[in-house]
Amino acid sequence: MSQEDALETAFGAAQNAQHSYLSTMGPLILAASHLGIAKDSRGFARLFDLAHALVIRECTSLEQEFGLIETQKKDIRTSRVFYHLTEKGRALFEHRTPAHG
Amino acid sequence: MTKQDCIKKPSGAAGGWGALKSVGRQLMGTGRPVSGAKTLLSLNQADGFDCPGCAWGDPEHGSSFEFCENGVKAVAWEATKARVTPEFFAQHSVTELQGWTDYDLEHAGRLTHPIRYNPETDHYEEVSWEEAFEGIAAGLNALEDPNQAEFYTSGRASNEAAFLYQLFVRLYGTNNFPDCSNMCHEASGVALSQAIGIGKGTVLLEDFEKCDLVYCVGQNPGTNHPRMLASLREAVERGAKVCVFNTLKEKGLTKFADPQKKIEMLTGGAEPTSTDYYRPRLGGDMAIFRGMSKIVLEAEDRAQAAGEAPILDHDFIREHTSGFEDWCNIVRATSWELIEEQSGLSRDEITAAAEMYLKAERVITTWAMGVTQHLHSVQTIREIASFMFLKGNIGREGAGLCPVRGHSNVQGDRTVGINEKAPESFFVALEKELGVTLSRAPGHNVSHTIGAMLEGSAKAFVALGGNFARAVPDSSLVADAFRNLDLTVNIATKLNHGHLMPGKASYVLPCLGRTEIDRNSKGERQMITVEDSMSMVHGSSGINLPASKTLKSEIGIIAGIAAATIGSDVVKWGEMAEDHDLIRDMIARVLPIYGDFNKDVRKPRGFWLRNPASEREWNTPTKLANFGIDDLRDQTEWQQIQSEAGKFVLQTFRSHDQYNTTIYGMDDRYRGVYGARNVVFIHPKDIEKNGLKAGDLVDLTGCFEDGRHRACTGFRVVPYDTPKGCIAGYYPEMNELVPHQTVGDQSDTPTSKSVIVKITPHQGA
Repeated sequence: MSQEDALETAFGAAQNAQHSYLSTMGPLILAASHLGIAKDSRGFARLFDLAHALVIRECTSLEQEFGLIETQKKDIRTSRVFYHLTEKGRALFEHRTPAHG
Repeated sequence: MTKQDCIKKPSGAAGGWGALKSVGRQLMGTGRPVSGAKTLLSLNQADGFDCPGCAWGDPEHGSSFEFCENGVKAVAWEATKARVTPEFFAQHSVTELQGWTDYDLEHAGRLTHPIRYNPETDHYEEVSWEEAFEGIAAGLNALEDPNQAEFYTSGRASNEAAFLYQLFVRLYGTNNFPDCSNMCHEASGVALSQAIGIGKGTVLLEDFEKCDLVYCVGQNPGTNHPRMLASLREAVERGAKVCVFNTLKEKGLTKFADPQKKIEMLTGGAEPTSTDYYRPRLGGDMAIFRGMSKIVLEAEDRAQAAGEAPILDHDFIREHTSGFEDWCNIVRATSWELIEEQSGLSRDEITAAAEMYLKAERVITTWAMGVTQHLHSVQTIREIASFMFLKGNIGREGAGLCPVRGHSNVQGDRTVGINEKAPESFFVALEKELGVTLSRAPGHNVSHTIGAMLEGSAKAFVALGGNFARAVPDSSLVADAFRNLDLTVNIATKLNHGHLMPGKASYVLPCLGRTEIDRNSKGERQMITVEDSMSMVHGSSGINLPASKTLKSEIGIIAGIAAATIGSDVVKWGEMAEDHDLIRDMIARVLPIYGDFNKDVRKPRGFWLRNPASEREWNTPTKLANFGIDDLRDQTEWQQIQSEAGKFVLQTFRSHDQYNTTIYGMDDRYRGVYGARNVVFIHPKDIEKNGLKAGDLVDLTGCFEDGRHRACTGFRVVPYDTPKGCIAGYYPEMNELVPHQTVGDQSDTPTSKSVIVKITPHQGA
């Protein structure tokens, strides 16, 4: 399975969880984290050509509202958030797609 | 930090994408709908929120989020998880917090509870909203005269909050409205009112798509309003000229990223944003436009002598203007020697800049603080307007005047009534609406407020946002005056130094941020509105959960103070706070220009507040556009220091990690400064001439003679491409060097771009 295909599959898995994500960026953040494609907000923003603030906002929602990710550290100057999936977040992808990285 | 640590190579562009990007974006854009989700596109709809950053217009969508680096920082700044709770204040005394930096205070996090200063313990302590409102009301009602109270407004305040605020203040009995615009674009308002009958710019964002020349004067959009660079870049790409007059060489004004690729907007890019870049001396802008006017008039003379088509738009001048002949006489009488010396540009350079004007059909001139914070700013802007009148470059497509405002709603606040000398028509309309008589006595602007505080006639200070004490000139002097007040009230999202100068009774009231959801007692979401620099009014409603359940909206806080202070007989404050549509209805009744406010603001992109001057309707005493008939100054500050060794003209400005007094970070990457703010930018030859080296520590001493010693000590020298004799440094740190007595003629704007200082090697550790 190519990385693009894996991303699409993981995205679908996260989306199917029926969480009231703030936007469709939410499941993509989760999928990218699961696959090890992007594990911080700025890296994700750069990869997908998105405004960093939107990503931060989505990360805040994923962590505070749904408990799907957890912040590991935050760069004060850039507001870059480093995160990983929580157990609840990892459960979205169990038996669905292989994790990388 | 070693002497060279803070000075590094300016940051460059970045980029690089993979195939994943297109897949990811496709998934987000066309993937199966997510139940209950808001898509990214919803950010551009009427229920999105307005970026709390700058006041540049939004393309195509109104209540929008056209992100730039400023927007990222502003949103992230509000969305911090850090909280400043009552426990925080139990741990830290006010005296201790006074020793923290602006940066550290802001990064302590969001304020969560209303607090009151306890002078016995030197700590802020939690107080209920009711106690706070009653205490503030008691303090205000204890004053002998309502004019002893000063009511400051930050440009972040929404139209609704600002309107309600001025309503309360006028009913309370004063017109004291020191406003952040007094410190920035007041000169634009004064000059444009005189010249074209309205104190606002005349262009829409779309005009930048039609112009063939933009003069960009005294501004640094890369840091202060980055989205403007998108318009400049697009103009350059389609072959228009963008001619910059800016004292410093600023990276954003030379190249910028593709505006459609927001990540490039965050990282810098490689496409040009200007075609011609001139670096005048501080205070030299009026001389440039005087010189260019001479060139245009001379070209007209030649054309007439040769029987060629005229250069000037004689129809426009004849039908729409007043004072042309008198102005021409002054222009022709101005010597090139004076023009060259004041501007710092050669006659050839000014001629080259003017020749663009001769060739252009549609011209826009934009400007910001580099023009407005001088003694002669009003005259300079009048000169810019006069120059633009020559070819009728106002009131038609692709042409006009464009002062670029700072904070996101600084223009709207003035429109809805934050005005210490509001027009009679506004009072009449308010009185008709309220059924009461209001005082017409002129109130205080920022300069007057500082004076009243220093002389002791001011007894109370209420701030709707902002960081007044740090933003103003002579900031430590003003800080001392704050401590003598009977009452200080600060409505804020985060802690700043303005909160740490408590008077006898002091309250800090935490409010919702622009990005946060505001619900009334029934759980219904409320919307506010703002007006951008192009007079577009659009809605904004938050999408993030509030930082604390205890927070109130600015509107709710104002309503609470008002009800407790003057009661609800005239205005039903509680009902207004519950339903912001009611506030908008009242605004539209008092200011009919808002039309069907509640309906129109819910349209995508909101609506445009009609600007008569943009349709060549001139609400001036002459009913015409007026040429400004002013001589150049006898001497600019730069000329004044030429005979005195070691003296310089200082301008204060923002770093790239800064928004007004908010310090997001310690870097200024476009200027190559990292991790430091106590720096001074000096021309390399001036560094050498004064026996200094890059990275040396120096002391800056103010030269204004009023007996007060003004100094900033231990600042590091940074070599920079600035005209000789002109130096620069960051505010608010260097506000200490700006005397409050030197203000703009007619505008009272602090002269923060032309402060004479002396530089000496740092004395002592």
